[in-house]
Amino acid sequence: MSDKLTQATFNIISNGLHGIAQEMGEKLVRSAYSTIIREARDCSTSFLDRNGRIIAQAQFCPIHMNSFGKVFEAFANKFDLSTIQPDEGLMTNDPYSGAQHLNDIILFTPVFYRDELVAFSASLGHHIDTGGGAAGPNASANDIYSEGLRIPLSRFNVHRDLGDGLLEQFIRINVRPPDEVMGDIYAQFAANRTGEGRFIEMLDRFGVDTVLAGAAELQDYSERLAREAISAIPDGIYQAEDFVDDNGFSPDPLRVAVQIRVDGDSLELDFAGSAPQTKGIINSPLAATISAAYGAIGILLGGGRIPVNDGLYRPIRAINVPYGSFLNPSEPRAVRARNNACHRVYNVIMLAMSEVVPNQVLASGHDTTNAIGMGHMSPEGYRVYMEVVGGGWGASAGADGADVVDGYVGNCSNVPVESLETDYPFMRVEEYTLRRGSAGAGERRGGLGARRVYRILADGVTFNSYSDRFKVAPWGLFGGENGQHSHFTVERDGERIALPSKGNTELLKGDRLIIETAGGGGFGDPQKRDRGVLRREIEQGLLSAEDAARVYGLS
Amino acid sequence: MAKMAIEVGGTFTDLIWIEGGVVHSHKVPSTPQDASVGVLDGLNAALDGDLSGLDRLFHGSTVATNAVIERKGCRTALLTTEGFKDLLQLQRQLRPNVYAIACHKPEPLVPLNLSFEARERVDAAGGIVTPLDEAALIETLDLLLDKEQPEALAICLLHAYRNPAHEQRVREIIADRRPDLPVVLSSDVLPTFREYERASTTTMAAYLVPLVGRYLERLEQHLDAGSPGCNLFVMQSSGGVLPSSGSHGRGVEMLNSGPAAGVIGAVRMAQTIGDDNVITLDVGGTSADICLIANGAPEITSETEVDGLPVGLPSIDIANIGAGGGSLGWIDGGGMLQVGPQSAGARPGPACYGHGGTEPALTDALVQLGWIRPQRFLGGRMTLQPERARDALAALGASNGETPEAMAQAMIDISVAHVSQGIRLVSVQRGHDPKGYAIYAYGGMGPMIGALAATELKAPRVVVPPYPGLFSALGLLVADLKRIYRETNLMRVTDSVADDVRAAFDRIRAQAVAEFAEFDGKPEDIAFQYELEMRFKGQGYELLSDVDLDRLEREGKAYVLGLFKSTHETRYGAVASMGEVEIVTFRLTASVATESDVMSSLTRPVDAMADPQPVETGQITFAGEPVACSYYWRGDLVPGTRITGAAVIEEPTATTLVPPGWTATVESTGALILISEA
Repeated sequence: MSDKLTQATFNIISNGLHGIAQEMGEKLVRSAYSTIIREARDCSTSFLDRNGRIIAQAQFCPIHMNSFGKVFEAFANKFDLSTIQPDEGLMTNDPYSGAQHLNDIILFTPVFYRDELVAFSASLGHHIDTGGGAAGPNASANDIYSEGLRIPLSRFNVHRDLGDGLLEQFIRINVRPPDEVMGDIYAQFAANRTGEGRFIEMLDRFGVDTVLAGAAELQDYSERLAREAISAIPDGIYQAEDFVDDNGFSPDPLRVAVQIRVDGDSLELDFAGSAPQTKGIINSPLAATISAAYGAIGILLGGGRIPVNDGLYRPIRAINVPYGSFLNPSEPRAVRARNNACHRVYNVIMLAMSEVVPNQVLASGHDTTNAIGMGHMSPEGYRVYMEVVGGGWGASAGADGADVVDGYVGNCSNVPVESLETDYPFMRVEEYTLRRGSAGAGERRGGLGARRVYRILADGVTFNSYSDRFKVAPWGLFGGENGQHSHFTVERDGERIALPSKGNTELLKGDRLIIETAGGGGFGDPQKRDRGVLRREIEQGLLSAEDAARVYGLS
Repeated sequence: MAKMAIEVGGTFTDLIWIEGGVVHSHKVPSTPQDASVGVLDGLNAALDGDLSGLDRLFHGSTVATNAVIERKGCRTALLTTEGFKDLLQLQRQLRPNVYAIACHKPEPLVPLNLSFEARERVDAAGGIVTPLDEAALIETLDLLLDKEQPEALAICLLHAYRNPAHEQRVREIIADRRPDLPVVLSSDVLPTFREYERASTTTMAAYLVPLVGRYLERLEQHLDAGSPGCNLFVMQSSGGVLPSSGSHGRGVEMLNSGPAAGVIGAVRMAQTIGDDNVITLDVGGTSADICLIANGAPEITSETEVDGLPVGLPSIDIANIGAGGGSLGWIDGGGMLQVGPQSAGARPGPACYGHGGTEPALTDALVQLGWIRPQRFLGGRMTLQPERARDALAALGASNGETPEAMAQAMIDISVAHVSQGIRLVSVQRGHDPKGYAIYAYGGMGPMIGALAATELKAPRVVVPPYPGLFSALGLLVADLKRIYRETNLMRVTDSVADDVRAAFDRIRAQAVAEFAEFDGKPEDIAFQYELEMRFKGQGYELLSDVDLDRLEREGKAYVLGLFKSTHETRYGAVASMGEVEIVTFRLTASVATESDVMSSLTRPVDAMADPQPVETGQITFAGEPVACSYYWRGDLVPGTRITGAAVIEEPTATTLVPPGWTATVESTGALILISEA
């Protein structure tokens, strides 16, 4: 520990930094306009040192938060950031410059203290629409240009380029609901400014040197914990594979393969053998793939105990992702549904490590982002709806999988039905329940998926979605059974039409759109499940007596 | 003695009353099995078995909060719209830690076997899409009542905040069949959108009806027997009291009423002393409660949680931080020193209690540095063992080669930082600068760290009220009769806004007047406060603004828009105007002032010649240095006394630290005013 830093000061600064990142996120949610941010919390905030290394992040979406460092690098390579001014900002959404997919607009603002650049505030909002071929995911897109507006790595002046300036006007004219998108961008500014203000207060209290030493020590602290956790894993090479269902065009599954080499207190990851880049929107840009790997390592090594920042990444010697694979595609492949592949990155890391550290891994959950979108054009304007419907979480050695939560890479809330029916009068939700029978059995069972039924109230509504786990089931571990697949179905005039996991479908007034998300995989032998818990689940109507007898041997 | 306050806590029940201009207090153990027993025991012990002189009893209780935390409320059923019976299980789908392996959702109050559905549907505009199927409802209802035997029923139908007709009809149907079954409607309890939060609040209300009703009934019966004609008043989370007779069905409004009573005590104290802007800091054994009072009024929130379950009712906005005298110091896996959130509790307690605790608690750190004298703890009622504190701190420092003194100082610094962070949460994060606020420090541990937190926040003034360890009970004696009414009525701000708003408030005010008449509150005694919850159209969260009805009448739309804009800027900073403003909820607070002689009873003449004599002088360790310190007994200090730090002021329920560079002056109410001379 640095001389400038006492034990107490380190604790105080590190709690303070996390408090800053979290407060930024709450500010963003509170002042946002779109349901996807203000209700579903599809956004993230982090705080970075002046070199763009993550110091602290909030409890939002891991896939966003672990990518801030990567995209910052791209800015630093393009611009001389040592000359950045207080009234400037950095913005992009370009997946081929370190961003995620086009909906995720990333905003960095510099933090100055006594005329010196000391840090960067960062926020990412998933914007409800950024143009493109559909009011939501454009499943037929075969290149990034069909997916919407690309904002290059942009260094801009807040006064000149926003408001009537080029940047804001350019965005406004290219997106379907301009007020919601710009309102949310301004909410990002409010979040960043909050971070700036709080950090400056901290500098006033402790002095620049002490705070920067504290931030550096926080990274070292995470590194120390991560190295200890890796040292406890036997050296060796561990590998696994899992699959994304398909690319939305052809029925073939796409392989995600990993080889993890653990060596002393560090490790490296190699995704060689993963499927080549492909048609459709399921390619994952490199920054997203790496972010997913970081997130999975965060769970594996810390289980929530290690603050996730740049220090946690340091013991990862290398992450090799073959260029031209669908985990590192070449420009201009389409990437909107990159989260499917990102979830498989988590899955293969868990599966590979399950043999040596069974208590630190999870069975597969629904593990996809069930992006449910609808668009409707009317004389009053374009309404774009997007929500992430959760599914069952995977079981682990110590716990059942949670029922109906977002997948690994996100942490989106559901949208209150009363809120979405107010905002989107072209639909009504007729059912929103736990999907009984969807969980994989086990000594610890997987989480239950969700069942959501929408009644469509107008013609001209398009259903724009992507999902996964329609064909490759969430797997169990150590005798735990698989969870049930996901399904999207339309009921029209008594007929049931099965929809693909990735697609754009024209809906008709009167249709019932049924979303059923996957249940999680179980962990351990179902015969060993606590009998009292089983009886309680039967009483609650969560488990049928027949299933209890057949699967669990409950007599 | 006509008036008494009784505050039931988890471990102790405190009684406080004024007799002959002197404040008296008494403490008895709480009786968690049936808290009303402890209350009666306390009354009898305090009054030597003669309750006949008792005229008004003000009561605060953790009975409702504990019932929720321990899931010991009554067997409650929930009726939802068809297709939504899993509402309480689905919740909002959030994981509290995104890097944790497992995610545990809070356990709902109603299990699924007690959830059932009605075939009906109302749309977002309040229109009826599917009429209530009464025959089907009766069939399911009879089955459920027969099989599951619920003791209370919550009804939460979709969009009932917009059109409550179906909820009301269900209540009629149930009243015909089971008139004795308590039924709670979401459209009565919380008529606002977001179905999970509304259902959670409604079920919690129903869950507490029989339990709190029975509790208050027993209490009333006991009181009636000993003291016929004595009126019982119950503390509310909103910071007011209501007659017990009107509170039987409203246990959900009693949640967290203990901390709320303390805040109200601080409001009154601050009025008497002349502080408009106050931050309360109530630090006990395991946690700190913090609340911001701006212009004499505590902040009110409609978003609180009890044990992870949302409650949407207006209540005093109190932040709870896991830092108290029992908070334990420990080194985590990465070598970082942490304090709390684990607490030593009452048993074994801090190491220096000598009850077997080996890990150092904050109290041990204070003993180690000499800020608490082992033989004078709790006014000498308990003797501490400083060598055990030293051993525990030495063990904690061993891995880093640190001395017990250094570890003690580090634990105190971290605890003060936690508390300061909590103060920032209620102030800075909501657009208030703590520099302009006096910190009112109470609870057993608040006076010890109040000035240290103030130093960190650059707040120059700390007030330690009299009876700091009993301050919540004291607050009960001064609380007003008060109730907050809300009505959601989505409305655009148009040219007719003045008329629209007046009409809405007229309607709510009539309801308040009618209800207060039942409490014997005369219309002319009722004070009203008018507030609007507004947002930019499209936003999901509303901001509260106080409305001046006269200005509204004169200035109309421009006034309302300006009001919202300034509130928005305070909270979120200046943002380009984003279109239309809409009013979401009308809020009316009705109150009848309580006449109280508490503050005047406390007041003594100031003696300009006061010359305080320390009971002892010695040395403490402060910021790593030995510092001369005088110890005083608070009971010896008359108004006008001025003490220069470093000093420690002891009394039966708390210890006040006056750090070096601070002075303490005894104000005429007996409050200690600590001022930073730096």
